Amino acid sequence: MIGRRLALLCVLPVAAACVPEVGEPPSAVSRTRVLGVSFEPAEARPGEPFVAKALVVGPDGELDDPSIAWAACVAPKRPTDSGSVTPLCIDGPWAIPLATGATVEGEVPDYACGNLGPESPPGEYRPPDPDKTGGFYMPVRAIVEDETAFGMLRLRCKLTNVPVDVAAELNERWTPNRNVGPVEVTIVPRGPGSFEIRARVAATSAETYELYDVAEDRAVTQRERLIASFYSAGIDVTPSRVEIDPDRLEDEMLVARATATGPADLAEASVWVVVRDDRGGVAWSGGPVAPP
Amino acid sequence: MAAAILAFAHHVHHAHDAWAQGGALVTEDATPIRSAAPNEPAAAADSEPIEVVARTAMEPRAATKTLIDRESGRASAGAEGDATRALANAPGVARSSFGGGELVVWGASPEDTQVFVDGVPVPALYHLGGRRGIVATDAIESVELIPGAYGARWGRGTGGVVQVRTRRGEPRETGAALAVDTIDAGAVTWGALGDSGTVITSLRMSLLDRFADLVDDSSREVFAIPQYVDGSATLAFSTGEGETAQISFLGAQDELTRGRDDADPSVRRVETTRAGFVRVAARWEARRDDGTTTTIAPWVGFDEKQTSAQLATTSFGQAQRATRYGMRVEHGATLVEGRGPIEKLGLVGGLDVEGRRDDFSRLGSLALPRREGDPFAFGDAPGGDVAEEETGLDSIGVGAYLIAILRIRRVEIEMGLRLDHDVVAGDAVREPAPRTTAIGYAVYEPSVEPRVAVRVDLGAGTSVFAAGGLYHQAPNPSDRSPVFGTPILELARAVAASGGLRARPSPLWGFEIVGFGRYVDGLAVRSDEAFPRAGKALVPTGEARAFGTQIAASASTSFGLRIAASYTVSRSVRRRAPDESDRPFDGDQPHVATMLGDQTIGPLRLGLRFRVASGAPRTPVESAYFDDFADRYRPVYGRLGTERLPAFVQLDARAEVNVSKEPQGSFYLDVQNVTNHKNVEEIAYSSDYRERDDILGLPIFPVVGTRWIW
Repeated sequence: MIGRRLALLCVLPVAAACVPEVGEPPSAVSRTRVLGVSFEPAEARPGEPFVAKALVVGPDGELDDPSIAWAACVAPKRPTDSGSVTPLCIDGPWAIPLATGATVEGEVPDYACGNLGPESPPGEYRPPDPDKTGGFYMPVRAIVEDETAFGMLRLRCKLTNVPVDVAAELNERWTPNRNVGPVEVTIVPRGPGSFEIRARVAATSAETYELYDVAEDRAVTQRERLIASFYSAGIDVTPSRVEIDPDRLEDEMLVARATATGPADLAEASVWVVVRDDRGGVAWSGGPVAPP
Repeated sequence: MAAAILAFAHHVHHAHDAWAQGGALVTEDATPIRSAAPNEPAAAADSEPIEVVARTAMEPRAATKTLIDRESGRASAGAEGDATRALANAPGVARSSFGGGELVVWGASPEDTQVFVDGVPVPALYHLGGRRGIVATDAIESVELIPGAYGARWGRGTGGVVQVRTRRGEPRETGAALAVDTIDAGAVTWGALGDSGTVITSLRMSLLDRFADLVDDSSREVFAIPQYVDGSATLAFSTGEGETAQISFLGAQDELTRGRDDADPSVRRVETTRAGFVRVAARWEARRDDGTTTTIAPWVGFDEKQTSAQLATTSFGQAQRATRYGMRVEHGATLVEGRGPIEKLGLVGGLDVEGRRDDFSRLGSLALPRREGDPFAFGDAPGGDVAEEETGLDSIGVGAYLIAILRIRRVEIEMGLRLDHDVVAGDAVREPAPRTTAIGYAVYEPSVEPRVAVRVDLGAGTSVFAAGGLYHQAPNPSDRSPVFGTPILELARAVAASGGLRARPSPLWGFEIVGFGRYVDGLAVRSDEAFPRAGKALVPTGEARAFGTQIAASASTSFGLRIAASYTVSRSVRRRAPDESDRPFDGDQPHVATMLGDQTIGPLRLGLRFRVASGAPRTPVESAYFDDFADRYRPVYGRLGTERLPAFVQLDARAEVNVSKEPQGSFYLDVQNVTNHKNVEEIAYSSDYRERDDILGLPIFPVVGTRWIW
């Protein structure tokens, strides 16, 4: 007992030192923000066209016809670059302007898989590393007001560094990556000033896909992970993001929940939910939501 | 060089009498001709400073070093009862961040400074988190820091050398020490083995982690609570007249978890590191009457370190296991003594062999773990790129050295030459394609390292000295990764020099001023090629420069008050390539000042430490972009290292009261930051990097403990 008291004396100062909560939570919308960028199709080959769109919101709700300056970037990330894109894509010459508007049409450059994927130039170069789903991505930049965002278009590249038989199997079993299914958002009162925000997506949103497992030296089947991100203007939402368990169905739908707090007499609030899979598929829904 | 501070007091009072000594740190005076051998008890260096005691072979010694004995280090304010922590007070040592424990000496990277326990290399001086040394204080005799420009006896490093000497038992002496405080508990025993043998054992384990549940995740994100156990055993005996043999064991195991396991996957950040090592060593030493000494010291060991992390939605894992072995054989002799102007001429020659087999596995982003010079913002996560490898590496180095020590009247010259032959054989020169056999490689890397040191005794307790030489260091074995690094990397080369004046006009006070400089090239840095070659993610183009001056002074009074002060002004810069501009080294602290005070009043011993240090460099975040794929903002950095944390200011106090003489018992209270100064340890950003705030260090931090000796 004495030892615990002594330890308390020592430990309490540690408890007193912590990371301060700085700024608003990630879910708060108090300025113009890009909450999501999606592509159709969600995976494209070099030379194929794509359409990009973004969810742009502000404190007063979703912007009707945002003026987004779009650009595609094919600069490879250097070993010295931190983050997900090279700074050359942010304000450098490697960003290829596309157009300005709420949506944009573009085409994946022929050399995208060479710069950003496994088809490295002739010679023994080190290709970029894939993500955990085996994917390579082309950054597409969206600038609106003072907000810069990057969406990542999944590239369909040739399979390299994979044994021929496994490559053949993967090609045979390949199915195109799709965006997450439609998102339904509802808000349910839980008590005075307390609400539950519920997002539902189709169970098929968590797709299965094939991946070469180097350690096992064979193709393996994986399932996408889904994360729902909650945003709101006017009310506080927590947590900002929720992992969706793909095996837990409610009425044959996948569900994510967050808690919102606001005035007890809340008539309407702006709420958005963006659901992402880990292969670049995105879908969103939201806007003014009134408690029943 | 608070270290230097109490050097004089140490000589004036009787060494190893903790109550009489009161000193927190001891530096070797330049005047004594004989110095401690690598494995020699510190008491040997504490002989009367003016008297020449070199009846045995002359031994090389560092021009500048800080020597801390067990009792003075243990009782140093702010050291929390750990003698090795008192090294933080040494001049030329930068303040490590709370929970870090990195030893930045004369502007060198922590990994450039080698740590030895009884001459055997160990992976770190401190347990993870930096709150405790790897050897219990009651099991050590002394800790010595040579900040740089050392002689040919030491190689394979471009930074400093730390030598921990374990406790030596006295024949027919039996005893035990028990130390318990709020951080850990440990026991040390010593006993006789026959007429001339001794056995010393130690065992210690952490306590603070048992109360970790009292600390929330947010606090643990910054200040991790360490969990560790360590132990040692030494069997020493005589094998003949002037001959001693020793067999020793040393081991430690650590676990440290840092971060917060949040329900929100985008802010989840948990990193767990497990580390451990074991060393088994033997040592045979003969000191003959004719002035020759011979030492044979083989050792084997095993190191292990595993890190696993979940940073937002990105995982990272790394494991490194190393089987290590080595041997040092050294022979020294006095060739000429008292012939004409030559007072003495001695030669020391030796072979220093060290080998290791490393096996690595790693899974994660190329950006992890963070390298020195990488910009970072607290809470940021790497990109989603994932690479994977399992590889191995064998390396062996044979260093042969010869040191000539010549003393002519008041001048002592030490000239050394070290020839190192390193062979590295890796399992893969580049990442093998699936179902193919990796192409291995072998590289032979010789290096020639001349070293020189000159000391001139000016009389009246004053001396001047200078030392310098060439140094080489192999890249970290993990840098030789075919996937994450570059297998064939050249050695980093350094030229280092130091010089200064040490004076002790009176037994009660003295001062020292030392200038130092170091230039290093061939450092492994990240390639900035858009398309790096396979197996060349790192390039050996990095350069480092560090230079500075340290001043230390100490004084003691007849009524037992001792004060000491040191100030180091330095600059440590790096560049990624010769054609790039300099940036501050991550551990650069241009100004570090320390003041120590110590007073004994009857059974009560009081100590104070006041420290001021420049804040560490940081890279400013200029803007941010939203990464839709990762669903998080990512920082856009400005110029590397162009911002600094605010200066660190802290006052620490210590009080110890002796409550029993037989057995000797005492209680102590060591309080860090008694004024509750709000020191900034890091910068926290809002999720969109548009706002920032300070992450403060610990408020008042007390450690309560007791120690009993039977």
